[in-house]
Amino acid sequence: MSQITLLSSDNVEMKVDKEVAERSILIKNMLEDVGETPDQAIPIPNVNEGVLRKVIEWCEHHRNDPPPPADEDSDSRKKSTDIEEWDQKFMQVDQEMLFEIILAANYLDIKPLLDVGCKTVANMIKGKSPEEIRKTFNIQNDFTPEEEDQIRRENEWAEDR
Amino acid sequence: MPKKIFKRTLKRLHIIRTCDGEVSSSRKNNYTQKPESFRPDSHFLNLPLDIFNLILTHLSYADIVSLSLTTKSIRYICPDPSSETSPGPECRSQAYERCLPGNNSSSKSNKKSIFNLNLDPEGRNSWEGRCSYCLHPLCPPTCPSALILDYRTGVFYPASLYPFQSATPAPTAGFPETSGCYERFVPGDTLSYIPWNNSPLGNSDYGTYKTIWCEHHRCPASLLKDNYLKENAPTGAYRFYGDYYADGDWAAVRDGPPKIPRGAPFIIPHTKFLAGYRKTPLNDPKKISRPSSASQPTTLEPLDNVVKFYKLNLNNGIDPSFDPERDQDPIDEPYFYDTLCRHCFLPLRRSEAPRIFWSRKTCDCAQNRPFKSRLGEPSENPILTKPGCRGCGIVSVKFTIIGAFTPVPAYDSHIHFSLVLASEMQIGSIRPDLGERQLNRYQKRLSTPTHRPISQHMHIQQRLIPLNPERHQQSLNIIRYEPTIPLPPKTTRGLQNLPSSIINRILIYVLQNTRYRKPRYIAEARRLIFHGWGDWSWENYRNAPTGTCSECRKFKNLDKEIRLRSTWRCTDDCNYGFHMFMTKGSIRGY
Repeated sequence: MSQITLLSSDNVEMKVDKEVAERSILIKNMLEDVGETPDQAIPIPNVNEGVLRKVIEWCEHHRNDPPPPADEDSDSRKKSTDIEEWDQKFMQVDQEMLFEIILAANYLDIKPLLDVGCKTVANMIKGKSPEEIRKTFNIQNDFTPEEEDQIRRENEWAEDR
Repeated sequence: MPKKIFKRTLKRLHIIRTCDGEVSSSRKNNYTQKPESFRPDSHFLNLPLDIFNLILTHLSYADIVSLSLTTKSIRYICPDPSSETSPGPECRSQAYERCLPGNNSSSKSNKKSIFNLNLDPEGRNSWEGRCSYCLHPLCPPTCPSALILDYRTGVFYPASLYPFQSATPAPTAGFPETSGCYERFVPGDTLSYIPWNNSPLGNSDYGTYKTIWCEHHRCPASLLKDNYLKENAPTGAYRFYGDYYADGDWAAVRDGPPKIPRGAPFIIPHTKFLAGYRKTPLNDPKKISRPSSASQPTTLEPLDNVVKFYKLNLNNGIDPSFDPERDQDPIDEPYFYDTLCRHCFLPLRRSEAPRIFWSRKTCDCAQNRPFKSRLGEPSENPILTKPGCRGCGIVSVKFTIIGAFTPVPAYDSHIHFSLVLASEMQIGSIRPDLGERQLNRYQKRLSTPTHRPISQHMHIQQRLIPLNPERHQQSLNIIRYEPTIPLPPKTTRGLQNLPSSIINRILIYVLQNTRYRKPRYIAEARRLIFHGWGDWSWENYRNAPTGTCSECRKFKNLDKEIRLRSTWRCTDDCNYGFHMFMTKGSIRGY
């Protein structure tokens, strides 16, 4: 099986099966344009070694998955926030790595991985109060009590029952 | 490869420095975009907007409201109340109420507030502000640890799962105030079958509460025991009997789901689950004076050839910290799961179940409150199109059945009084069950939270975990009538995680020189491991009513000697000897 070399932003080369690398639509299109296996390393300038290894690990695990549907509207990835167990474990990383993976998936155009990342973040938000979300994502509360009162008044239900 | 083509493709990768060192005009990509208003110390807020929007598509309206209230920079993500994509005012109001607690309830003058006193001119609420059962002053439901006892179901709900803003105290008229009617409410074996429907509410609306327990108040654990058959009980203990045994939903909830026929596609297991150990055994032999007629066999004294007794349980396989001298009573706290609507706090109707066993009412918000997507179109996202309120969302809830009062001694046994705790849950992990091994009949009875069918041929197993584990533990401690010795911390892998074939092999070795080497015993042993049913103790035997089998508690029409021998084997209805072997590590006499 032919292999290609990817070059991370910190100049680390990684050999990977072409089939695995082609989980990235970006790389796949590039290789199709080139028409042959490049003998030079393909630079991935926005992804460092650690993140790239994680992305490759995901691609290797899902190398035989069917390609995602092209039609965005009928996209099955929006059907649920269910995440496979392997993907859940894969995403059990610190937040910085999680968001790096999401960004790398976006950059490399790996929609299923991007979707798993987004679902993971969504699951971190679901059912939580604003304060819990702030703690989860290290967000500073910049609402004053007066502003919160204002929001509360704006959204108060006044209908009699 | 032609260098020109390679360069062009590299440009597509947004590579800034090409082979010639030129700077690409496509440098600005989403990856490096950082809206100025975002704070740099939050990775989440630094996400590109398109990814941020993608995450929002997975959230319900209530979650978007909660997220929008974290910081001003993302306040805009919430649909404007005047827009047609915003849900109804009631849903919006509830979402904001949950997100912005501590609001002034006086503004809701139209509602009958739980804080208002002297609601009823007829004096029904003379105990208002006090516990209906022990007359202790109550905290308001805004107390952080408040658990509201719903009158309709006998379930303790946290404020986040209860419409406490509109809740009203249950009236007490018609309930027994004194023990004058104790003959009717004396707890006994047959009392629960007495049809008693003296409830003045009947099928009243949801939101009527009986009492509130919290860190600052819970009824005395011995309330019922101390007032047992007391003619002048100074408290409302008999009100509790009335509520507890009334012909309502209390019994349905604490009894759990009915047994499901085999092959049913939807399974809510209601298994016993070891929750810990009781420090003070109910049947301390030193304290119990046994009648002489209940002769106990000397052969059933603790075995002298017991090598080692390790307690098996579902959490950690082997619990070496178990001390049979110290930890005499295991505590089982059964549980079941259901999904509630966050708007009306009623269970969702399911096509698989014609009726919800614990609630006469179900949510019909989906029909009453259609919801549109953020773009103003009917949403196809099943998260938003599931049953339940489109605006407020749904919530998974665990119902744990907990012994809440010190059991009342009666005859040779005890009468237990259990109440139910509702806890918010979240999905911890999901596992397709067509994975490493197929679930067999026994494994399907495991205390796994849910089996939710997603297609005809595949099930998804969701493992739910408490949304707030600390709060959940605090609530358990409030309701339990005495502190428990907790189980050891869970381990990721244990005996029960081994493949069935390996467990079988181990059990073959364990049982090979016993009379329990037959496959049916091996299957039974595996079930014991899975269920953590290694709880049997000698106390169970000693307290079996005379003339009954200590395992199945059925009357055996045999003389004593034969019965006792038979009890060892009890081949008809149970495998007592086998249970003894599995739990004591010995089968003396065999």
